[in-house]
Amino acid sequence: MFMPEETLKKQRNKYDVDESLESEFNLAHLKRSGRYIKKYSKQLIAALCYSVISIVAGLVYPYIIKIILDNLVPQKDVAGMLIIGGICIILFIMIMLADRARGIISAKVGQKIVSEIRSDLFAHLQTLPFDYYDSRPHGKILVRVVNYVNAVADFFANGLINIVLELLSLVFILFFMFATDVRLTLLVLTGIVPFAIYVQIIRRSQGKASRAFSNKTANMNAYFQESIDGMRVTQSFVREEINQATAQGIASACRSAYMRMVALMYTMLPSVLIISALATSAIYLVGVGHAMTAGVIISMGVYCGRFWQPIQSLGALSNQIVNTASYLERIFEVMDTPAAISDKPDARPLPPVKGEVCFKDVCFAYEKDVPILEHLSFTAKAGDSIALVGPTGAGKTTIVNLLARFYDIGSGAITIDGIGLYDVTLASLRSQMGIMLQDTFIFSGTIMENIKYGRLDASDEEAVAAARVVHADDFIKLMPNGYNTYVTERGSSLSAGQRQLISFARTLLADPRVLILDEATSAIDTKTELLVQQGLQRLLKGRTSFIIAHRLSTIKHCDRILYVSERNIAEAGNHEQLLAARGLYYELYQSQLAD
Amino acid sequence: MEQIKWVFENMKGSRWKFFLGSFIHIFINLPLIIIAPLFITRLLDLLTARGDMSSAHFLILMFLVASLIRGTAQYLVGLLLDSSAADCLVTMRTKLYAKLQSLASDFYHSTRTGDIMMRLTGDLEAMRHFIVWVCINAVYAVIVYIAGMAVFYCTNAVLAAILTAVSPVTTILVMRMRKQTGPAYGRVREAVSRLNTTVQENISGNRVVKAFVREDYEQKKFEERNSAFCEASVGAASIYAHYGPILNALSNAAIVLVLIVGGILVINEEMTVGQLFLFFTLNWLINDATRTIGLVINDGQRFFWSTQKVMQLYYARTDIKNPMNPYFEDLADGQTKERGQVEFLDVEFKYDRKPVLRGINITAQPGQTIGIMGQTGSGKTTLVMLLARFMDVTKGSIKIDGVDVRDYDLHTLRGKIGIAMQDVFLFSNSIDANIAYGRPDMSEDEVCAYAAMADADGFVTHMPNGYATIVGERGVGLSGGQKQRLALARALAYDAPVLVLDDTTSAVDMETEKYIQGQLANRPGRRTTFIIAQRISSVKDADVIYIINDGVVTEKGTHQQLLAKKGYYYEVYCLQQGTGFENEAEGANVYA
Repeated sequence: MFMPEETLKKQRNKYDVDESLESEFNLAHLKRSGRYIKKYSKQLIAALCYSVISIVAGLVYPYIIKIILDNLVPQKDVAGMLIIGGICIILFIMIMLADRARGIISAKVGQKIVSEIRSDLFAHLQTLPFDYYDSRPHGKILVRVVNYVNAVADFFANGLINIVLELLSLVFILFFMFATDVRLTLLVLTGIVPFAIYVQIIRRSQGKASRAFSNKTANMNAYFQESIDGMRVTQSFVREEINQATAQGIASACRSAYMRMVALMYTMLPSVLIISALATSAIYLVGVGHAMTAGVIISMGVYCGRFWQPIQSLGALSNQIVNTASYLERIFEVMDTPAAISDKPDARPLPPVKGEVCFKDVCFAYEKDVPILEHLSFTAKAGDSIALVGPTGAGKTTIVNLLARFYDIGSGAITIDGIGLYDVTLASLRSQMGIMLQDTFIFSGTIMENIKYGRLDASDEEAVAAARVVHADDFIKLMPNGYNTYVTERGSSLSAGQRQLISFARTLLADPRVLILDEATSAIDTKTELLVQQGLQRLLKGRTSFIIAHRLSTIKHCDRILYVSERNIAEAGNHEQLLAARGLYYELYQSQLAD
Repeated sequence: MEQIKWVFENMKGSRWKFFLGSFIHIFINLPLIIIAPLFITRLLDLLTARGDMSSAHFLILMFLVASLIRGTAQYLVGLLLDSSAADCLVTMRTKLYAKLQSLASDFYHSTRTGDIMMRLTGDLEAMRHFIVWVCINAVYAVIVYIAGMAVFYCTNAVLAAILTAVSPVTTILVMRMRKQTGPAYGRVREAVSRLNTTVQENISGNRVVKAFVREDYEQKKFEERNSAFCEASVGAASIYAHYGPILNALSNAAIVLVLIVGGILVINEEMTVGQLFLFFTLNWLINDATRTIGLVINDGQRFFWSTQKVMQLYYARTDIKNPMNPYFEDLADGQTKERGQVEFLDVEFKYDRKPVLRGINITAQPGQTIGIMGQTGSGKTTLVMLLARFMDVTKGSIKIDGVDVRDYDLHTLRGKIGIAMQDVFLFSNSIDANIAYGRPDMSEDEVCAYAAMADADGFVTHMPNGYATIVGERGVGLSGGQKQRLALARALAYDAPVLVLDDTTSAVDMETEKYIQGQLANRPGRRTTFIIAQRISSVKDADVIYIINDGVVTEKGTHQQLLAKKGYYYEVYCLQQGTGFENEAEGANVYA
C-alpha cells in the first residue's frame, strides 16, 4: 500500500499472485517427456499390442454371432453352434487376458514414469539455491512435486496408448473409405477442415485456461498451507473473518478458472458431433442426389460414422494433452531453474582441515545496489573460537553463510587452511562444518532420528552422548518415549529452547572441524547455556568455531571477538582488549551492564 | 450412504444444476444416442429396399436436428454438473477452512499439514468426480440394465432368466472388488500424504538439508515414499484392471449362452429368429451396464473413502470451544471496567498426563509489567498458550479483568491480548500487511509508527521495496532479529490491553532492546505487559519478576529483591554480567 505496483522491484511471489511464465503456451513440453517415455517403450508397445488383440478379437465376435444367426440356426446345426460358442468363449478369455494385461501395464508404466519425473524434480530441487525457496510460498513448490506430477499420470498410463490406437483405427477406416469411393471420402474429409480450424482456435485459449487453472490451484494450495502453519498467529490476532473471506475468494477464483477450462473442454464433443452429423448427411445427400449404388452409400455412411469416432476420442484426448502440457511446463520450469552454486569442473574434495579460516577482501550483496559486506578481511586461527557481535542486520549471519558457501561471494576470497573455498567440492566442504542455524528445524520423526541427521551412521550411544553434552538428555529422558518420542516441526510439545538443544546435539554429532553457531542458544536459559558451553569446551578443543550471539556471557570467553558494523569489521580482539579499547564493544558491554 | 447425504447437503443452492443436468442427460441425451442413428437406419432401409426416397431429405434433416440437440444437451449436461460440483467444492473448502480456523492446538499437534492438505485437495477432487461422473453413470447403468432386462423378459423369459442367472456371480465379483478398492485407495491416500509431508519438510528445512549435506539422504527418503506411493497407486489401479475384464467376459459369455440356448429354441420352433436377433442387438445394453457398474463401484469407493476423511476433518472436535454463554465484554452496562488485570490462580496444566505447570499464582495489575524467566522447557510459553486459550488449564483458573478466560467469547478474549510469539511466523505478504495483520484497516502512518516503536522502521525503509517488500513464510529472507522486531511491531499494532512478549528480543542486540524498552515505556496508555525472556536486561525493569523452574514459581520479586535473594535470578545475573559466579573466578563480584 506504500508504493504503486509498477515501481516495485522484482518481488517474492505470494499466494494471490499468479506465477508468470514468459514463454508462450506450447506443446513442446510433451516432447521433452519423451526421455521418460522411451525407457518404457517396450512395455507401452506391449500394452498397445494387447489392446490391438482385444480390439481385433472384439471385431471378430459379432461376425461369429452373425454366422450363428444366419447359417447355423436355419441349418439346425446344434453341434456347430456349440463349437462356435466354444470359440467365442476362448475369444472372450483372450480379450479378458489382453485387457487385464493392458490395464496393469498401463497403470504401472504411467506411475513409473511420473515417479521418475517426480524423482528428477526432487533431485533438482535439492540443488536449487535458498533464493528459490525464499522467493515463493512453499506451497507452490510442493504443489508441483506432488499434485502436478500426479495430474499427468493418466496421460502416460492411458493417453499415449489411446492416441496411437485411435490414430491406427483412423488409418484403417480411411483405407477402407478410399477403397470404397474416393469422391465421397474426400467429401467426408472436408469436414476435417472446420474441425481443424476449431481445434486451432480453441487450443490457444484452452492452453491459457489450463494454465490459469494450474496457477489458481497453486495459489489455493499455498494459501491453505500457510494458513495451517500460521493458524496460531491468525487465531491470536482474531483474523479469522478476514482470512475466511480471502480463502473463499481464492476458492472462488479457482472455481471460475476451472469452469472456464471445462467450458472450453465441453465444446469439443458437441463440435465433433455436429460436424460429423453434417458430414454424414452430406454423404447421403450427395449419394442420393447422384444416384450412387445403395451399397456404396450405405458402406460410406457406416464408415463415416466410424471415421468420426476416433476423431471424437482424439478430441477428448487433446483436452488431456493440453492440460498435461500445462502441468509439464511447470514441472520442467523447475528443472530448468539453474542450480546457483555448483562445483567448479576441477573442484576437488577438501582434505581434512585444521580449520584456519581466512576472509580476504570479501564483498557481497544479496541484491545489486544493496551491499551487505564491503572489503571484509579477517583470519581465524585453527582452533580459535570467534565471536561475531554487532547490531542486528549488520551482516553477521551473512559472514557465516558465505563461509558455508550458501551464497557466492561477489569478490575477494575465502580460504580454509589456505585452500580456496571455491576450489573444493561443496559436499566435502560442508561435511567438515557443523552449522547450527538461527532457525531450528525439526523433521517429523523421533528425537533420535533428528539427532542422527547430523551423522547418519552414528550409533544410538553416540547420539545420546551428543545430547548429554548439550544437556538435552535431561529433558529427552523425561519424555513419554524418551529418544523414541515422535516429534514434528509444527505442533509437538517441544519448547523453542528444547528444539535448539536438539539441533545443537545434531550439529555436534556431525563432528565438525569448523563449528558455526548462529544464535544457537538464544532461547536457552543462561544456566543451561553455561553447562552447554562447559561441555563444548572439552569437545571442541582444537576446532575452529564461529559464534553469533547477543548475550555477553555467550561470547565473552571467545578467543577473538569481531564487532561487525557498517558492512565491515569495526573492532577485533579478545574481551579484555576490546574493553580496554573503549570502542563499540565497550559500549555494548556497558549497555548490558545497565543500572 | 451418509457420505452421499452429507455431500448432498453441501450442494445447497446448486442442487438444481445437478438435477437439471442429470435430467437432461438421462431423458434427452441418452435417448438421443439411440434415436439419432435410427433416422439413418431408416434411411438405409429405404436405400436397400429401393423404396420411395421422398422422405430421405426429411430423415437426414431429422438426423441433423437430433445430433444438434444431442450436442447441445451434452454441453449443457457437462456444464451444469461440473458447475454444481464446483459450487459444492467452494462451499466445502470454505467450510473446511472455517473449521480449520476454529480448531485449536490439540488438533494441530496431532495432525500433519500434509494430511489436512490432502483433504482440501485430492479428497475433494474425488468428490467432484463423484458428482460429475459417478452419480449419473450409476443411474445410467441401473436404468439400462433394468430396461434391457425388461425387454428381454417380454421377449423370452427363458433366455432372460439365463442372463439373470449370471447376475449373482457378477454381484459377488463386484462385492469382492468393492472390498479391495476401498482399502487400496486408503493406502494410496496414506502414501500420498506421507510423500507430501516428506517433500514439504524438505522444502521448509532446505537450509538444514544443505547445511548437513543431506541431499542424498533426503533423496533416499524421498525415493522410499515415492515408490511406496507408486506401488500403492499401481495396486489400486490393478484392482479394476483385474476385475473389469472379468466382468466384461462374464456378460459376453452370458450372451453366447443365450444365443446357443436361443438357437436351440429357434430350431425347436419355440421362438423366432427375429426375437433372437433382438437379444443380439440389445446385448450391448447389458454389457455397457455391467462395465459401467464396475467403474461406478471403483470410483464410488474412492469417493466414500475420501469423503469420510473430509467428514472427519469437518467434524473434528476440539477442546477449546466457545462457552455456551460467552462473555462479550458489554461496555454498555455502564460499569467502568478495569482494563488488563490478569490473574493466574493456582494454575495447573498437564500434557500427556505429565504435569507441566503446578500451582502457578501470578497477578498483574493493569499497566504492570511482569517478567518471567526460567529454564528451558520449564513451561513459560505454556503460560501464554493458556492465557490466550490455545490450551485449557487442567486445574485452577486464569482471569482477565475478573472473568475466567474460559467464560469469554474466544474472539473477545484474544482481542484483549497482543502476543509476539517466540516462534516467529510471518505470512508471505508485504511487511505492512504483516504488521497490520491484527488491524488491517490501519493507516500507513500508524504502521510506520509501530514499526519505529519496535525499531523496525530503519531496516524496513532500507529494503528495496520498503514496506511493500514481501517476506516469505517464517520470514525467510530476514535475520532473526529482524523477524522478531516485525513480530513485535505486529503485536504492538494490535494495541490490546494485555501485551505478551515471548522471548521477543533474544536475537536483538542490547542497544536495540534498550531502545525498544524505552519506546514501550513511553507509549501513551497503560498496558499490562508480560515479558518472557532469558536475558536479565529484558526483564529487570519489570514490576514483578517470576522465576519458573520445573513448572512451579520458585522466586518472585523485583530486580533488587531477587538479587538480594541470591537465588536462580542472581546466578543468572552474575553469569550474564560476565562477572563470574562461584567457580568462575574472574574478579570480584561488584554487583553483589
